[in-house]
Amino acid sequence: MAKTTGLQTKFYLAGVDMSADVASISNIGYTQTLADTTNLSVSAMERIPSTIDGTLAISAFFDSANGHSTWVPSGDIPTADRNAFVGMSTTVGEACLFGAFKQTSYYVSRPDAGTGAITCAIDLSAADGASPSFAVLQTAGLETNAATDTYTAVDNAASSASGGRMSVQCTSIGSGSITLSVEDSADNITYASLASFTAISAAGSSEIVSISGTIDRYTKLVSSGTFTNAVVIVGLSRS
Amino acid sequence: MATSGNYKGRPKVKKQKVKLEDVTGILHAFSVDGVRFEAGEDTQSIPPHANFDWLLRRGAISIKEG
Repeated sequence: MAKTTGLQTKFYLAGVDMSADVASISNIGYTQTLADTTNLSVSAMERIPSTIDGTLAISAFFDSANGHSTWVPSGDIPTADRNAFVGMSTTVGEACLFGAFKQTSYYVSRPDAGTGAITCAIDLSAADGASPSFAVLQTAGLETNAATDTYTAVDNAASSASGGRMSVQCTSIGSGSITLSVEDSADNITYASLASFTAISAAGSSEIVSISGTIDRYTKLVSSGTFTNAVVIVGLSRS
Repeated sequence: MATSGNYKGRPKVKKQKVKLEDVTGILHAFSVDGVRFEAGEDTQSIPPHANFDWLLRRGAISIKEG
């Protein structure tokens, strides 16, 4: 890991690659509400952690095709949860963030004549009762899988005991159906299945899966099924 | 530097308790060196350096009792 620019940052929403429309993203992460428990026995504030929240504030260019139809698919602001995924690199093992969000706003702005393109602002708030997850990429960014394949392993340096979550976004699939699973290993030699996504047979698919129990030191993505050219990005977080 | 007979810098290789000959069946799919083994497959083709202790803990293999 090293300091990095945002040049490789990509944004995916509900299985659609929005990177060509989005100009910037802020608030990638979460906040934690603190409950005040200050009492007579102390002389300074005392607080305990309460609910965690996550938001994404997106500044985008208005695009009457891909962008507009994804931000407001039926002409109205969507009411259902949608899975968002921010890839902060295109290297396996580097950072990403994902979560299930509800869209709270969609504003379109037309600047003064001649000063710039029409833009839009979108705000998303975490909505599934789980904190958005900072995770590591199990794919080299958005990766095309031409046939059944095993991806590069990620070394977490140690196992973890409290489960986690994993998320997939599939932006395109040529034909057939791909099943993606994450396997883990203690030695990077012997791997067993950890958790699987639902089989994907259509572009615009996304899913978040919870993992319970121990996740061993090494994790890697594997694919199975009969398919062509599945374009996917996958991240895995440990709790 | 003084050394003693109990040199502790040597990497420890943990000996496995379960060996290939103890394995009686594959219960869940796993892979070794990228080669996949599915449930119900013959156990004799599993490489002997597979991590059998770990596979047993994961419930991926069954072994002889006793």
